[in-house]
Amino acid sequence: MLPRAVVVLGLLPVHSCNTSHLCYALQIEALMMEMQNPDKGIKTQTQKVMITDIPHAVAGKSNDILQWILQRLQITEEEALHLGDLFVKYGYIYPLQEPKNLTLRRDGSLYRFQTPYFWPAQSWPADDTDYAIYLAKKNIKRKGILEEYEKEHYNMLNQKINYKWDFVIMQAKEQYKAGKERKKADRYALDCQERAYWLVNRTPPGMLDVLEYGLDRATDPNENKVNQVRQLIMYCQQAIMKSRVKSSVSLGGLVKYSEQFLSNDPILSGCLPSNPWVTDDPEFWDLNAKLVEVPTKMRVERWAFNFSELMRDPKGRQNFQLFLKKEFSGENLSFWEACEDLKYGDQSKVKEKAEEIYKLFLAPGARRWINIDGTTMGITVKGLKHPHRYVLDAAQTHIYMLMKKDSYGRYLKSPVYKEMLAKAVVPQETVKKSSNFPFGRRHLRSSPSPIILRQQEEEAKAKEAAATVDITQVMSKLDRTWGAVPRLPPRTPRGGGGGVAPNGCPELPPEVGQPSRLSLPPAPPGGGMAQGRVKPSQSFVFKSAAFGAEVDDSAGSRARWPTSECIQPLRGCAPCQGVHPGHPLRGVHPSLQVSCTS
Amino acid sequence: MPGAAGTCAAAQAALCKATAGHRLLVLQLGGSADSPRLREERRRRSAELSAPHPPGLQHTLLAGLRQASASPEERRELERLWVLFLSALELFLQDLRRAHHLCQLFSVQGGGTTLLRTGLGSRGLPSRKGSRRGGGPAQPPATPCLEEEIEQVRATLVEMESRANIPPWTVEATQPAGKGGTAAPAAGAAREGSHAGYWGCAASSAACVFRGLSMFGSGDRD
Repeated sequence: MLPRAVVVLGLLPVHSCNTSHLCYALQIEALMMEMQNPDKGIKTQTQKVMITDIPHAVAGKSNDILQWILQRLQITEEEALHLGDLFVKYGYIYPLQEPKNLTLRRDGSLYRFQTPYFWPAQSWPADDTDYAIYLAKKNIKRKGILEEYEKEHYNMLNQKINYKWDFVIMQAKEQYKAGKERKKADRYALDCQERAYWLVNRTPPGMLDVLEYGLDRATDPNENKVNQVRQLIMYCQQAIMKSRVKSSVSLGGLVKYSEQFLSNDPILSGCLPSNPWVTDDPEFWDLNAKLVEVPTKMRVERWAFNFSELMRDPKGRQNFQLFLKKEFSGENLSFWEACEDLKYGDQSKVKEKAEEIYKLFLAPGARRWINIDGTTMGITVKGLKHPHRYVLDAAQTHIYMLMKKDSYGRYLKSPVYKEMLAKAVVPQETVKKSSNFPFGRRHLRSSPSPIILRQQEEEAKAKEAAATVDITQVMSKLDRTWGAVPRLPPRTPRGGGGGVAPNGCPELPPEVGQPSRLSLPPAPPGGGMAQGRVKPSQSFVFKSAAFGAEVDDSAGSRARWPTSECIQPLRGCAPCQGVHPGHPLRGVHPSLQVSCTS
Repeated sequence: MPGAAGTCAAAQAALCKATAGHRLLVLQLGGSADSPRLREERRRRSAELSAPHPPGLQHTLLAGLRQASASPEERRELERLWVLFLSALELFLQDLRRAHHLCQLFSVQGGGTTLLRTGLGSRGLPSRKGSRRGGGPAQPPATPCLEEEIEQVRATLVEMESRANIPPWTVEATQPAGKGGTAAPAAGAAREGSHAGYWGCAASSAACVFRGLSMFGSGDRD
């Protein structure tokens, strides 16, 4: 609120929750006292009032007050004027010729210093009783002289502090009498002082009330100083504990980001085919539509920058989902998207959505069960008792990091991505058509309505959900036929790539067949998974043979979900190639999965 | 004690007067009229105030209030005086605190820090004639310092408030909202009353306030 000048002086305000601008009061008081210095202070002159001379009037013109401030504080003239004006507004200096006009004029009008008793300090706010006494005194002095607003105040106070009223009147009379004993000049000065004080503290209507705190108002800013200081201490302690990054590091990050994204920036690097705002050609937008069939090359390249870029782009997610399906971890991305919908979607359906997500992804035996560690699962399930938009945050973060650290790397090297990259189109730069016909009616086409777009999206989602191949479904079907010798689907060689086996079981990617310490022998139908109950210290690899194998589990273990502590990416965890998130058998029924420790 | 109210009223008036004088002196602290003499005077006055007066008044009031045999008017009067006394004390205490603050701000008899040039002359202290009490020996030898005074008055105030349970709102002002009071001479009252009547007509919202003025003749309008 006060200009820079105060800060220049090194007078910084005390941090306070109740932003009392009168924290500056002490500093202004110091300035006031400096002004009195006979050598370095302000020169004063005498005011002539009628026949009396009143000393100590200070001229406000460009000279005395203003010059003094300029010299003392070394600030610009505009600021000095503003600061001087504030001095007057707060009542440290009061004008003599136009008492009601509390501004610092530059035309040589006179001002005088206010007596310290009347300084606007917070230790004693302007009291109602005092004001009543003042008004009563004014009344006694010159009958009927009160202004309208003063009369209103007077009447209001009479009602408010009626019990003291006798005292008010008595005191007013006494003060009046006491004042009369002084000589005339002094009396005049005293009157001026007091009037100025009340002009500041009980502003007439229409005048700016500088003491008004506004919304930050506290009834008494000095109240509860202890609490204020406590809060300040807490704030400072927390500020100290905040983590810091070296500016060189953060700046380096910014530079790297800028360099990487420079080519993608349409303003800095131009955009192909052309900037629609310039050429009126919306082809750029069409080519970069949300779920366009063939994205632009630039866009696809961008997915390789980092994981968040991939996830931000719906087309990227779509492509990524394709890849994940091949790795049998499609439910991860689906889960992530479901969480996003929960967070940002229709909040009135939060409960239903959360329940559905739980049933589909989190419940033991869920159709598209995601693999998160026990702690997170515990937290999530607990939170789901009282669902809200952020209840799945922990699980979502977990899955996000999983995908980022694990699947993303492989995705970038996968044929799915490479194919997309090859397919991606590089639009030709169009030349701005010279409009021979400037006033011709351009055929403007509005983009498709968001409602329609959304409907299309939902349909696509539903289609995709229906088409999702669930290993668990298959497995559970197989489960039910336990006891009988299942017919194993014809097995393609282990080196086989994609493609779907006749009964709908997706083929396992080659990685599965990696040797490990302990591996199950290609199990005969009846026995394969007999060793299914693995000892914690051992690790398993499920060969393709195990895929169709029987579940030799007691019913009791069905409901058990693995306390898989392995969250490390497959790569980094060579010996344990059990049930990893990227693992082919991700969608396997829980009872088939085993806990593995690495 | 029929005279109790009267004595108290007189004491109250004196208290008011002394408080007003004291306030005037405190007003000038830090300004051009500030001087060792002024401060001396102020100290003297506040000593007068904080030492003898309040206890006397206080005790009389208390005694009067305690008396069950007092008539209801008497009682009401005493209560009114009680409230007035408390208000006066409060004002005095406030002024003492301000004086304390200002004396610290402009310390060492005003010689150290430069005083503000407020336009008041350093001569012209109110004459001591009316306020001088007796001679030297009657005055306390050492005037208590400000902090002690403040503490003293504060203690008195607290004591008063706790001793007598008089809710302030039960006291009604005897003086009308206009100026002048019951103590003013009749002629003065009439003169003032006419103006007050004018007021009453001018502001309808204040009509209820001027209930007491109807007797002054609302026919007198300017």
